[in-house]
Amino acid sequence: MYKTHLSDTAQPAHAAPGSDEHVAAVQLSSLTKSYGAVRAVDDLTLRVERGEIVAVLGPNGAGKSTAAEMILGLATPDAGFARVFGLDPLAAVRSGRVGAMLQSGALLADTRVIDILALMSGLHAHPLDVSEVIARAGLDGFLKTKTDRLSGGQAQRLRYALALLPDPDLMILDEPTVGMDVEARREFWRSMREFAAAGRTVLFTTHYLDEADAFADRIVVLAEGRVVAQGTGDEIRSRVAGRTITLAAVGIDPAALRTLPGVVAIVRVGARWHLHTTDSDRTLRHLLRDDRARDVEVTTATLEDAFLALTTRPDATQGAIS
Amino acid sequence: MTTLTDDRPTTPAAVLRPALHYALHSASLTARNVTFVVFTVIMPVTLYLVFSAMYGGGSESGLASTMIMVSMAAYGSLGAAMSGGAQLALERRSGWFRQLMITSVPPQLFLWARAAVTMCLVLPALFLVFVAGAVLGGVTATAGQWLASLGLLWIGLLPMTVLGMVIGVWVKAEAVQGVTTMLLLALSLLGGLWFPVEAMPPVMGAVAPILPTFGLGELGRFPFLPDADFPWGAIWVLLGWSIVLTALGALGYRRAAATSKR
Repeated sequence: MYKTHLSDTAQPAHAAPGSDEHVAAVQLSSLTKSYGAVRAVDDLTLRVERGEIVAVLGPNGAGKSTAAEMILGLATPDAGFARVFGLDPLAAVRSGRVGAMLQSGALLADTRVIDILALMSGLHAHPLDVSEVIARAGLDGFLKTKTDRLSGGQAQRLRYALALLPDPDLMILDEPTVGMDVEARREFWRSMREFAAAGRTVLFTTHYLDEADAFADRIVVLAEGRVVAQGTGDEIRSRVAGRTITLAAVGIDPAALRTLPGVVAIVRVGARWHLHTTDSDRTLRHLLRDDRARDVEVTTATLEDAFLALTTRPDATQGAIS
Repeated sequence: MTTLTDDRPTTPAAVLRPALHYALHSASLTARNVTFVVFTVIMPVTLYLVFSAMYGGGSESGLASTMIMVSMAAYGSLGAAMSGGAQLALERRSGWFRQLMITSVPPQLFLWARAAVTMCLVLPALFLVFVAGAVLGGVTATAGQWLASLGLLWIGLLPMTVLGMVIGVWVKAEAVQGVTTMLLLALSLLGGLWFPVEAMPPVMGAVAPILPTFGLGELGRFPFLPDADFPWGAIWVLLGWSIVLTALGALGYRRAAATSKR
């Protein structure tokens, strides 16, 4: 079923004959899109190689969904362009090479799961067997349930099934595990891994750092429509040189903390302030002049800290990581 | 040079097969919706019976009753034709549209497929109004006349079906019902389905011939009128509306798909 290429990577059976191995699965060049005054995606350049699993990580409004829409041809860029396997996004979608799970994507109202699958499977160029999709997405228990009666987790599994249906070379998953419990998330990623193992490319957006770290080959951190960092979870951690200083929040003026030398971001977590600093020694020296600073601890930055530092003030941190 | 072209050939069959599949599945899903079927079939027949009882009686030739039958078949099936857009509006609001966009089927074909479904669903309305005309309204005509009128009305409903789609694509789901009803009444009135164009004030009478509803009525009446010339003008008007509305619908589909979440 799968032909083996020189790279030793199995490619899906319908990889285009004679297609150029050097053509990226996804190529975004200076992609820009505004909604009114808001620049959702700002000069975004990104390349995803075939067979890669890439997580796009970022806070709300970072432009993750807008970027995903442009890769799918659902939105048209104001400037720059998106290519999928070297094709215009719409052409790639039409040829069935792209499957997508849209963010809180709608399902046809008042329709049985099995009827939706039958309907949609006929709309793709080379669909997977419906029975295979049912097995992979774990729909067995509720095939005759109408969409309005599905639980959040079941609906999400159906959306996943719809993304599998075209038997795509590229999967775009926009926050696929939103609303899933821990067990459902684990099961979802197991199935996803299995599907991607045949050399398929996966691009997913998420809020969850642990998820990005665990399932992606590469993490792209997006803030305000731009790439502020990319690499493996470890690389992102290490690229944010520095430490996190935490202290009790009682009686502390956050504005004063923010202006301490070396500090690039401050976040309140429970009863403590977390300061991300590029020079903990200097920060500490200044911090401890203030008698009100109590219970001070210094730790190596966690991925969570790195993420916060990268996305809270991209201008301030970019110098530190590049 | 060739990087932007699809590397798989797209034959008409490869595109039409999924569109047909979509049409059949949608039709079967809609046909199972009891309220939809009852509403689009029962209402036109009832309207005809009410109107022919009010105005059709006492006509010696029976032509008045025949004309009312044609007008009510046209008006009633018009409602069925345009209501196809409501379903579309619901799918649009929910965002199901966007899911359809990520398939092998170009958006225009979805519109045509749904139009085809609606065209099937107007047939019972047309047919039953004619049956009511023959059985209860005392309309007498040859089999050829019946069939010709039925067929011509059916063809004439095409642009109205597309109009329903256009409304479904462009108008907010909450407003679809209102806009549809308003257009339905305005077009029926101005197109001469409620009373003849000759009885209208001159300004309204001047507008009537370019309306699709006027063409619809003309086509439906033609087979029952002795010695009438075939209304080619109606054909051109309906064709023009079909082309313009289809373009408008395809445009709206793209727009709706891109913005339905916003």
